[in-house]
Amino acid sequence: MSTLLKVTNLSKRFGETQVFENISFEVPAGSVTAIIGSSGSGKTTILRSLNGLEKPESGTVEISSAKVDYSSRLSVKTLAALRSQSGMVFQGNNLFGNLTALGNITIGPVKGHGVNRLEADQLGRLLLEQVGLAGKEGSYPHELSGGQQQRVGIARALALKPKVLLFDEPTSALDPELVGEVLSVMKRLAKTGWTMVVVTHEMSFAREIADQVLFIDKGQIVESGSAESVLKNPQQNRTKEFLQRIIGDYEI
Amino acid sequence: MDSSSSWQLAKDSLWPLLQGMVFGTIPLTAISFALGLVVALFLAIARMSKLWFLSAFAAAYISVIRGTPLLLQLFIIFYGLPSIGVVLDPWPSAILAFSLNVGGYAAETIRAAILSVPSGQWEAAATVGLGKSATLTRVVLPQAARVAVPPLSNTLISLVKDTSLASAVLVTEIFRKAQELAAPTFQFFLMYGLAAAYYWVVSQTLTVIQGRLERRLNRKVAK
Repeated sequence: MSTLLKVTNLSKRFGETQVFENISFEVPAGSVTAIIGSSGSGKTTILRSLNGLEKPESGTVEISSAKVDYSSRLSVKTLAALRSQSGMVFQGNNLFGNLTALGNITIGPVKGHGVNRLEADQLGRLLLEQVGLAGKEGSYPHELSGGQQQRVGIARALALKPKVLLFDEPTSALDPELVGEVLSVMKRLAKTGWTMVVVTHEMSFAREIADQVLFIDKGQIVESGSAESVLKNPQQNRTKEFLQRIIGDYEI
Repeated sequence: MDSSSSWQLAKDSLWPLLQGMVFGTIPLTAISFALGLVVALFLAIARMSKLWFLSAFAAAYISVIRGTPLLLQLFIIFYGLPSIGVVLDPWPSAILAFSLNVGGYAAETIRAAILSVPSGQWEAAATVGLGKSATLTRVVLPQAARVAVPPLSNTLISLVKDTSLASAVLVTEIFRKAQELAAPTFQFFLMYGLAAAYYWVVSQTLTVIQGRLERRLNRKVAK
């Protein structure tokens, strides 16, 4: 599989605090990468650096044909080119509160990428159907459950026809009984060949669908490899401790 | 003057006063408020700008407008500007003064309303390819409106009454009409009382409209 996303020597600090340092990894096309680690480890900031929501001091991010070198001054155009490669699903869904489910999905294609309204509407309806929300086109975000909101968020990201989907803890803000419906949509996407980078606390989900797992601690990739090797047979003590903490009766 | 002739005068004054309201106070308020909101939006954006001179200009402007009396601003425009060669008629003077004044006050309201929209909305908009101005007009301002409507309604209702100051620069609005009707008859209590009643009716009407608008905006936007 060819490399779709390549991160090289990414470093970021907030004032005195080093958030992460010299992060490098690659994501092959059509694969799923799970980024795991305790809160405050820097994993969300790493994900947000993949589309310029965070701007590290140095390092490069390449997605398909777009390349951003954070050590040089970024133009609006370069940033937009990088962003157009990915779609993002946020922890708090960040749906546009003033727009309907369909409006949330079509605004990007129509106002951001010049797709015509009819075509965007058609795609929007299709995507809503695919995430199990046919009939909810006209609902406003606050009329939907958390799980439904997050599925609209996924459809909104898909509507951009991105090369890669970025998920920032898509289920951590949800009530436990709503987690399943979101994860099942994500599993389906993974199986249909989407390239995904997922920051998650759902270890069983990561074990099931991730091709690659990165364990981040204190701003560094402590361990990386297949889900099998990192989650079932971790080599580093920090990984073992983390997994024991997060999965109470975890046996190594 | 006995009570029957007072009654007659009151009846005769209802129509001229209403004219003062409909052809003076209301258009003066509506035009000034609309222009004032445009001024306010630009000031609010300038105030939040990363360019220091824009932000400093907006801050200075707001400070001067809020720090000086409206009547004085009106007088500077109508009586002051001619001395530097700018002569404006009563109506343009009044509209200019009121819109600049509303702009200064509403700027802070609009700025606060824009800031009340969570930053996640800007981030999400950026990830779907919207630029800053598209994000502002299509995502942020519609949501900011919900927050801004109550304080802006206050500004509008204040403005209805503040336009009475325009009488001092010869604009024939309802208050000036009342003065003109009272002067020859010495019926000050009656005429000003009637004018007050008209102001109250308009303000109450606006309050009712405000309530409806708030309910409508609340229905659409997430709480």
